[in-house]
Amino acid sequence: MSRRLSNRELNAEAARPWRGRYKPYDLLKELCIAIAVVATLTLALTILFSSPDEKPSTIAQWSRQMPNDFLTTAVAELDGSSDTATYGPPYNHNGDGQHLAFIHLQQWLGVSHPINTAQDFVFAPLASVPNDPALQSAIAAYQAAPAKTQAAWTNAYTTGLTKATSGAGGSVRLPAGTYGPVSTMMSALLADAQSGGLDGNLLTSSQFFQTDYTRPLLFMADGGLLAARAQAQHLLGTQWGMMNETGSYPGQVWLWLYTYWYQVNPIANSANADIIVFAIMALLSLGLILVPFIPGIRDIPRWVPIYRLIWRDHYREARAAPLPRPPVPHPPAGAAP
Amino acid sequence: MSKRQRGRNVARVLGSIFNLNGSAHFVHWHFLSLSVANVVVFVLMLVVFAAAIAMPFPGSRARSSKS
Amino acid sequence: MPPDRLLPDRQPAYMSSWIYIFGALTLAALVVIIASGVLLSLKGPAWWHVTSVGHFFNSIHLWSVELFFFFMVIHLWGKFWMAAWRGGRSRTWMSGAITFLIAVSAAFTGYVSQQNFDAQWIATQGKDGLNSIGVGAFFNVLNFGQMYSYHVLLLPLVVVGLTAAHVLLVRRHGIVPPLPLPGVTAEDLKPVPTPGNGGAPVS
Repeated sequence: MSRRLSNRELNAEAARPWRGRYKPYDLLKELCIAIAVVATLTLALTILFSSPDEKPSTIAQWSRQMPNDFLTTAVAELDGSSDTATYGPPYNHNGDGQHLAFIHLQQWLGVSHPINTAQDFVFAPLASVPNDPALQSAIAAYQAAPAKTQAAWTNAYTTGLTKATSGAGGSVRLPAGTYGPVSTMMSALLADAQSGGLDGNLLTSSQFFQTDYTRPLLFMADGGLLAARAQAQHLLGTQWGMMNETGSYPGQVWLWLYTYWYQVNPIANSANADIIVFAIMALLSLGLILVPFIPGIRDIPRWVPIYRLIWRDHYREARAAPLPRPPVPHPPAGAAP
Repeated sequence: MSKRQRGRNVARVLGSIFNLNGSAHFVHWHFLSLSVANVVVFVLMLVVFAAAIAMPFPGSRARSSKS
Repeated sequence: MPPDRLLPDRQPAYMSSWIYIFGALTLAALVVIIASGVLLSLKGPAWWHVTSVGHFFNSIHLWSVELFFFFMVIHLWGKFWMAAWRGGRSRTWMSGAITFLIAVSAAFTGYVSQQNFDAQWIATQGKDGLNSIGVGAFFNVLNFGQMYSYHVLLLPLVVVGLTAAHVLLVRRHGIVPPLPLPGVTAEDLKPVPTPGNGGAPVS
């Protein structure tokens, strides 16, 4: 009774030099034709569709279009309750970061880009506002107050913002309340932002030449403007956003499996969603790399015989004129028979 | 053709015929929500793969030099 | 490797399917990506936002990337259904899979180097995934300068190196022969002694 070929037998067969018919084949010509075809296709797609280029958001735009959201974010940076302030490594020690069982990679790699949100997003930019002694004494009064008093002021201001009214030109009017110096500081920060000064301030705070947008991006991401724009374009994680592009352009279709896990509920809602998804994808990627060694997976091509279509010409020829069995390799000269 | 007209023609070629910058359309099916553009790309991949396997390759029956 | 192995002028006759062109198409797309990338880097990263010529070459770069992944995935599908890792070709498969994964990272650094809203969003979202595994400590996606360096120099070098290794392995081992049909047994494949070696099988 014939039995199915083992994996070892298949490999031995595939390793033997080909004893059948050859045909002329010009690899260089094939590559040149391929380059011409791809260049033509790319040119056609470019002329038909161009490429997307949605203008970036600035802090100036954010503070003018959504002044209440800007102030809510700014006071959260001041009192240390914003996402960045409580992030943990690599920005600060105020959070544990994500983990998978006992694996705390985020913590182990430490704080490499230190950010103190109150100092970096509020005090430092305000310190550079010129000719405003009232502002500077408000800052001094805030910094001198005990922590409990500071918290009372910022909590009152946050609550006041929920009842605030928006005025013309991006102004915000809060109801009367006990805001202490926070009100003066936040008004000055809003004015600085709306004038465009804060974009520059956050970028060039440490040196003249800059290519590192960590601070302005973290500050904006703590607010709602980027997320609002993203939601409108279906770019949120829960909207399969990782695969999508702005407008109606095709996106990163190859990220379909990575983004899939963010739609699956126990994972998507977890505080450790990112590390869980990464672990799953790392495992699957390893599986992809090691397909030749995984029993079952490496046998699928034999079970689902698409190969019979691919090589149908060869099988037809082999039926008409079968190849003889392979010869035993000749022993090396001088070896015992 | 004036210089300005030539410039406009170049700009027209460098621009695009179809403007894909408007709001996208999405295909919703159970938990899947995919952009039409991505669905088109994926379906095209399946079609091209199937065609590559099914279409006859030229010269397949031609005799050629033996090994 | 001798020149006639590196660039043979003939191939086994079983190489007669359109599925075989997708490796070359992927390579061709990589050539167009690099050429358009070089042109974009000549005028710097802000060029494509301010001129229509720059925008044109950015579009070439984007669509060649889409075609690159399009052809590469079809190439991967074809090689899977052919079980192309057989006969000592497992390193060919592995180098191809690793190239795919590195190419995804290279594309990611490109997306965050665009200096537009898409880059802002992808960077501020992507940072969470990378921070969760500690990679964010030394690979800061919000740092445009760092991402641009990875995109135009470091990752292209890795992709080109891996692609070269992959192609050399293909040339070294040759194109995988067809799978034996289900009726073929081990007895059919067993080598036979031929006149000249005394009829004795060699282990």
